[in-house]
Amino acid sequence: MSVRLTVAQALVRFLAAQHTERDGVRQRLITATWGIFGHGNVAGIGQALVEDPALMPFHQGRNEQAMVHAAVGYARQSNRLRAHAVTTSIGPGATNLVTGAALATVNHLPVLLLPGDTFAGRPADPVLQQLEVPYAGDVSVNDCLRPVSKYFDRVGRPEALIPAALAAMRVLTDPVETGAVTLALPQDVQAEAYDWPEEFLADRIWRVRRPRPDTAELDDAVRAIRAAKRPLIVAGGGVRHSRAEDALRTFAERTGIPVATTQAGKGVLPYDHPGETGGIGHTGSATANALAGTSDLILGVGTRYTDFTTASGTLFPRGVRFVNLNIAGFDAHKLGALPLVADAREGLTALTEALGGHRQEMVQWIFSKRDWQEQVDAAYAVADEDARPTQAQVLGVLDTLVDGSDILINAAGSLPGDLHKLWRTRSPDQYHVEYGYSCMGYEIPAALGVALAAPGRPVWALVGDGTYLMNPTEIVTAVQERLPIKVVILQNHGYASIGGLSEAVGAERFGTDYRHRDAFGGFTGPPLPVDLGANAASLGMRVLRPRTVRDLREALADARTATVPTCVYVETETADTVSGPPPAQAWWDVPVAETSTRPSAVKAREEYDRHVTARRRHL
Amino acid sequence: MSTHHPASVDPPSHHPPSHHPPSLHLPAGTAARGPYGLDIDPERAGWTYSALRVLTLGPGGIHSFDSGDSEWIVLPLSGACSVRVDGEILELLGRASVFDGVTDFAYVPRDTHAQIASGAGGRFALAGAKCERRLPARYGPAPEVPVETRGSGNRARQVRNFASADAFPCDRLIAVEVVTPGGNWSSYPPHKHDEHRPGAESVLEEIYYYEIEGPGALAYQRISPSRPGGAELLAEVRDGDAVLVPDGWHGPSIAQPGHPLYYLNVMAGPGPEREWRICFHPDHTEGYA
Repeated sequence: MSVRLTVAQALVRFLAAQHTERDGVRQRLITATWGIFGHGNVAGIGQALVEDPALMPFHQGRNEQAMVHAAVGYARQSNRLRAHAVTTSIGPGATNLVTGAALATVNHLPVLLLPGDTFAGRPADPVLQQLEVPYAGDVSVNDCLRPVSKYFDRVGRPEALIPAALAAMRVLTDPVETGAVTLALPQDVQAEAYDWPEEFLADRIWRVRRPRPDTAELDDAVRAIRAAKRPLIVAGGGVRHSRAEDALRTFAERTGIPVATTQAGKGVLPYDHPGETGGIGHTGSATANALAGTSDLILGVGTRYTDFTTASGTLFPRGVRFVNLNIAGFDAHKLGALPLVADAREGLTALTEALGGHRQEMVQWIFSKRDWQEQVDAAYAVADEDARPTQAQVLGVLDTLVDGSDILINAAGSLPGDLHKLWRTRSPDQYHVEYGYSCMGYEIPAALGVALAAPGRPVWALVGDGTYLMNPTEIVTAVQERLPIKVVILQNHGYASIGGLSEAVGAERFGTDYRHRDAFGGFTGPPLPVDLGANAASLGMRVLRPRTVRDLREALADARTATVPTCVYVETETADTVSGPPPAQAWWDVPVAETSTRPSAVKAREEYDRHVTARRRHL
Repeated sequence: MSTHHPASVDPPSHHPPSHHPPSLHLPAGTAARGPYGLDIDPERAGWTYSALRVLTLGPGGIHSFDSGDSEWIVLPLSGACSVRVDGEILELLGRASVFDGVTDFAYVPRDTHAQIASGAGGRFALAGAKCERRLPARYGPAPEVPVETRGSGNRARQVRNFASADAFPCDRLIAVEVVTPGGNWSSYPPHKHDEHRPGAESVLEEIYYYEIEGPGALAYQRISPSRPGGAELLAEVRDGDAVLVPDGWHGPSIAQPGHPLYYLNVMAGPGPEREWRICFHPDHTEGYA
């Protein structure tokens, strides 16, 4: 038996019938499609979505990149067991996907991209927005998506959809491979009819597997852990994707081995769990970094070991041994590690069992953790309730208001550093900081996706003014969908974070402040008369404008319970070095000019050369 | 080891204190305060020197305190801990329980701030004495604790002199542990140390803190007056109880058959020497050896 449908109609029917299953829980895989229509998808996918509207919920976006961010937020909040699709036209709509796709792939988060593509039959070359390159007839702008997609296919004939769609689902639901998956859909093919076998459109279940460790690898790992005197666990996002938090907690409690977390891993243990030592690396805590610096064994669980985690190769001491529990062999082998290729939960459970009663008591770090908490308290402390808050004080006020149900979203600027150092994470999914791609503009659209995946929970997008200006468009979508996200805009008049870095690397804050051009051609004039609160209000948000810490307490409390999208717009004070967050506890490699006529760069280079000598290659 | 004190700071405290607490027997939990499951300070005890706190820490727990005008010994009752004091971290290996043998301990001098942290959690005694001299913070190793078997037959017991005057330098604090096998008597014959008689008897306020193995297990503690109106008690004590001995003949401590009895003695007093000089009850002179 077969069913006659267009390619687009068949694809929508197919997507509505795909499910994931893990731990006995079955869920629909593609639960909604985001879209902006142009000539490249309106008559194909657009018509298919309206043909049977009950099949596929639809969300209207404002910017294609933002739609991918929303889908990624949804997938992360859904532990990668549910995802969204994104449909676009064939030109700028398609290339706007690239940034979002890269973010999804870097973070191993599933999103299905469905850009339209130029005519497969080429009846009229070039169609509007078609890229023509003289050296190849089969290249379209969608080829930009190849390097940022974990699977890419162009459906050049109707029946080619069958293998392409199945391969797309396989990759989306594969915990090793998942990321952005692109099915480029030529405009003419989308509308073509075909007789589809019924089995293609039938319900299908994709088991999200939990591979167990190889026994020999497990033996090696157990031997290394038993032999270690000062072991440390580095927990990454893989712990969360696997929902291995309980297994990690049990492992840490049984063995007494302390746990440090990457940006993606923060929250796997609540901040007040005795085994939790805080963030690790450049934005980490003194506690975790001191442990890392004196460790003889690192048990990495679900981490990619980015340069922030390793302090650009300077954090871990010479001679340290790595055991990497990772579902991907690629990551398990990093840093010359003993690989333990397995699902994080299965691997931790197996390690706990195999280690028996082995226990490593190291308690000195408890003192350091207390000291660090005192530094957090100091950064949060408010001397004058009637003064403008610092960025850290905004976090401090938020800290007094939230419980485990709140979700904080951030990706770029100085907030990821402050949050990693300071934030007291209360629940495994509270800390949603996208620091794989650290994409300015991720926060607001991601908040939509998170709010869709976790209805009823307070979802906070924390943004600076620079990030806000990159991508405020999805505020309109929040208003349209009545999603009561809370957007906190911290106004500091420029790219403050990179301004600080600029100063440190001898670039003298060049081009980082938002100020009028001065008579000498620089940007040192008065601050720009920008009112982002008015901007958010013009897009339909309710806007609160606290001026003091006292106002801020009221405004954030109000926003937290608001039932409409609410923006809290606050001018922040620059913290001095005494009252602000603690400085970086580990290095980050940003190469500095080797020669310069300017003293600041010369001095920065001297500092740089000093740090470089601490780089180590772990083999 | 003895320590001299200027005579001028010695208050004449060999008279019964004017404000005895309501009871000399403090059942487990009744003297809890703040973070301490037991908190006996001189004010609460109605005397001048001796203090005892018992602290329970959960896994990863940490506790901060100011030593104030007292010296303290941090003594693991169960579990291990680290003590941070005066820029040093003293790692105490501790023990599984008080019946497991001697433990290492930490000395915390007066006028400082200290933190106690435990990875796996545990119960820790803080034996204290108001004092004058500030001695250095130190680690007390378990192998250096003199262990003595005192008495014989059904008076036999084990005494662990971890901070006796001879074993470990303090300014005023004297502290020892005693483990009495089930059915045996200890603190026997009854004795007292409530008069200043140079070379014969020293004035020491004393706290007993008991731990007893087994559910519902009990022991008996007797105090008989050494003078009219002096302290008197006959108490059935249980695990976690404490008894105050401001003055008077104390003993015996009677262990229930089948249930070994542990107690911690914390002592301090005004004497010019840090010394434990006692006087046996004239009616009972046998049983010490």
